[in-house]
Amino acid sequence: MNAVLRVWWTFFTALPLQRLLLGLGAAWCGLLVLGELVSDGEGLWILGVVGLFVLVLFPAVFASAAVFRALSAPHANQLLPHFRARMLVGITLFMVTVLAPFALLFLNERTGSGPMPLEIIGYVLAVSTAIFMWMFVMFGDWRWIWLSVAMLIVAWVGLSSGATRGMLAAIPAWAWPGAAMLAWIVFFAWYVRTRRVRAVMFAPQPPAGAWARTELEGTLTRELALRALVTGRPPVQKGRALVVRTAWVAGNVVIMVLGAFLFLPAPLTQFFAFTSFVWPFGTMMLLWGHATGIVHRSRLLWLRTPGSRDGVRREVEHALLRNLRSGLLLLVGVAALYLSPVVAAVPQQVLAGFALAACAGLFSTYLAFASVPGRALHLIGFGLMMASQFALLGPFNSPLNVGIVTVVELAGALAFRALALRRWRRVDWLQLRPLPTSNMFRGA
Amino acid sequence: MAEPIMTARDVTKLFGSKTALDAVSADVFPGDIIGVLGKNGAGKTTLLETLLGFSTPNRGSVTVFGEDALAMSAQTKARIGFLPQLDELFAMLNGKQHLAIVSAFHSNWDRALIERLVAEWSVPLTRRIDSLSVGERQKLAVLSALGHRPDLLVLDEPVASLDPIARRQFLQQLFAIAEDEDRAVLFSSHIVSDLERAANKVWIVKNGRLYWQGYLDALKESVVRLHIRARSALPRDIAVPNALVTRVDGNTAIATVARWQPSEAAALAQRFDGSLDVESLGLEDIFLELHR
Amino acid sequence: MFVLKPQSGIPIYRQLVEQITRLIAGGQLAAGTELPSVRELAELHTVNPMTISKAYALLESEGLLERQRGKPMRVAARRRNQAPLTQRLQQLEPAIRDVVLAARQLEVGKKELVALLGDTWEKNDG
Repeated sequence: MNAVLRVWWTFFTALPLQRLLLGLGAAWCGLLVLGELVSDGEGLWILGVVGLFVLVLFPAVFASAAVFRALSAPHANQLLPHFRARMLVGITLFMVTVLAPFALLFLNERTGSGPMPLEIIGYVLAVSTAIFMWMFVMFGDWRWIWLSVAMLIVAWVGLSSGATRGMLAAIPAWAWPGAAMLAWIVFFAWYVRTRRVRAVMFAPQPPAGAWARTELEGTLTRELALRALVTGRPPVQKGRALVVRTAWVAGNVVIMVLGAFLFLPAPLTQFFAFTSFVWPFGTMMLLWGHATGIVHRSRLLWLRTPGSRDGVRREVEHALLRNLRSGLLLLVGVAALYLSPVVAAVPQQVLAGFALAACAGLFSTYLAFASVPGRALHLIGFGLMMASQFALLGPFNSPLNVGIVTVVELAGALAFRALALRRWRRVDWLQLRPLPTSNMFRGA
Repeated sequence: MAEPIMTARDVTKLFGSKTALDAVSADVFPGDIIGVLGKNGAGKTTLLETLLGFSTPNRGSVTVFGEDALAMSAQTKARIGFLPQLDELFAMLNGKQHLAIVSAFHSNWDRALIERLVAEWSVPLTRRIDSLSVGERQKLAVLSALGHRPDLLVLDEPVASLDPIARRQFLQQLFAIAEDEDRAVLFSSHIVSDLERAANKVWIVKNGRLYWQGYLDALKESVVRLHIRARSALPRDIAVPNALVTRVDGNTAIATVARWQPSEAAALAQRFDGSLDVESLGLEDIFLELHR
Repeated sequence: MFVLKPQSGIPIYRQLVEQITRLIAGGQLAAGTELPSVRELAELHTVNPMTISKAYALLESEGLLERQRGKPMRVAARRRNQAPLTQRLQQLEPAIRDVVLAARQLEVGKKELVALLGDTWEKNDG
């Protein structure tokens, strides 16, 4: 297959999940197109195209940055003839494909009246470009997130004046795709001339050499050593690094909350009510990275540590609960923010929301704990919980819904804990291999 | 003599205050199989990467197929195959996808060869790359470097994770490549026995300098260990010409010398008033002696 | 037929040259015998084919082997380009020195050794 086409195809099929979604999307689209032809119904194919977009194209935009980096990083690939040029053509083709459904809508006579579809294409281009650039930069080095916080603050300050908001509304529709094109031009220019493209860094890792710089003073207790191995961080990590990490998480959250409640018109703020899905979902996402890392790092720990298996298991559980605790502390801070005059929420709502989010955190922690052999359970459990949170905890939900979800989360947490304990005792450890993203010994 | 495929002149590379490469000059001619030998950290990987233009030298230049290594044309790149030390395979893909991507970029991909090798070497193609063992990944990476029949094959520790059977199979493939006298192979390895079988030339890298480069046979004939047995006690500071290491013990002395000429044996024996035994050294021993 | 040790201090091509030379001298390789092809031998011992070619080329230049078009190398019928006697004696020196050293260690005298040499020569005639 032609190299450009092969690159283009890889953007849609690199991850196994993508291949599954591609199958589903194609089937969905095919069924609906067939239905349209057969039943003489009109507009069914549009649904098909929408499905294709949602299942295949949009997720691919999120994955594309990682795939682009992963393909561009290896030394051997730099020697492939016309490699960089072909990659750029491939990503261009990819973007065109993402915009294609909207172009189809535009061309279709029923929906294609007026400039609306063209504007939409412009917005989709801008959003997709932003997502690609954002993830591309972030995957290169996790620390770019600082720049994004800075940009958010700048935007917040800028948006606080009515004049700026007016200006934003006055920006012509073509400026957004125009900016996107400019971004692509800059990207192309950079890509063609840069010497090395760094490989994907999926999870925050301690900065290169952190372990080498650590001075292990005196004797290291078994507890400290286990903790270091399980969390992946050098045993003595105090002071600046910890403060900095906490600060950026807290900062992001505060900015988001304040931004929402100060700028959004009243009906939309309901999305950010303390009992909406945002907080339990956000808590689960916040805890995901570290919990998964801890569990993966601990998988072969039992084989390497003398002593009882249960002892190691308890240490792992403690690490997970410490992770949960830092998440809960953050939540307390947010609850305080909600009780403050800025948001002035009803105390009972805040309490209910806190319980909801805390149980969500507990659920995700023990779900991660139970997912020792593989990620399948984790993904499915996470997905199902997410779906029910979306469904039941929309902006205008009832106390009953909140209660139901809280109870389900709690029950789930207890069930997964029992499963985790059982698996720790029974799983065939020799069949497990450490997963690459959590290997802390990988070259600095 | 044919034109060299690759030429390095005075290449120096500094990482901060550390000198990784120090005025390295070398040539690779068609038909060569060159083994690069050196301690960890001696600069082997840096050397190979600089030779292919992945790293800009602070001084000196590298020419590959007549072009500057830092600005190779697409045709020149197509004639090179590279296997880095750490495998950089995209973990989410499976072997088939990976090879499909690589082969799409090359117009002269030899499908028959790759299919044969996949079968011979038992390379699993349908499983995800991150579920393969280290050896299987290395084999896959080797295939990616071989498939387009490059004229210059540069391999950094190609067999470090392969079992002895796989290593033999790999060497056989190297010989098949070397049969074509227009192609050259440059590979670094710790496994000295493989080097002795395969290489006709050897580069020894020590502290960033190319300590020795030339034919392997010449190296073995040039570095020998002399066992001197004298009739009377030998002086402690015995001066053996071209000696790298000398050990004196009463009437006997053992000296490792470089640039040995067999004709010197008689003269030396007479000078020390005794007998002289010449012990030839295998490559591993030579390497150890050169690092004393 | 041949024992090649890549890890030895003696280059592989020389090991092969010495072994073939000895086998021819000892009569195990009669004139006209075909030797294995370069590729066969290289594959059997997993060594660089260039080494085998080098050995064969050297033997050919010394007149011990002769090339046939399209067929593997053959032991020469008649020795041409024989090396001078001094050189051939020099090649024997290491083996002789080993024998002398062994004899000394076994406390065998020079006369007895020479007698043994004569006997062995007679026995291995042909």
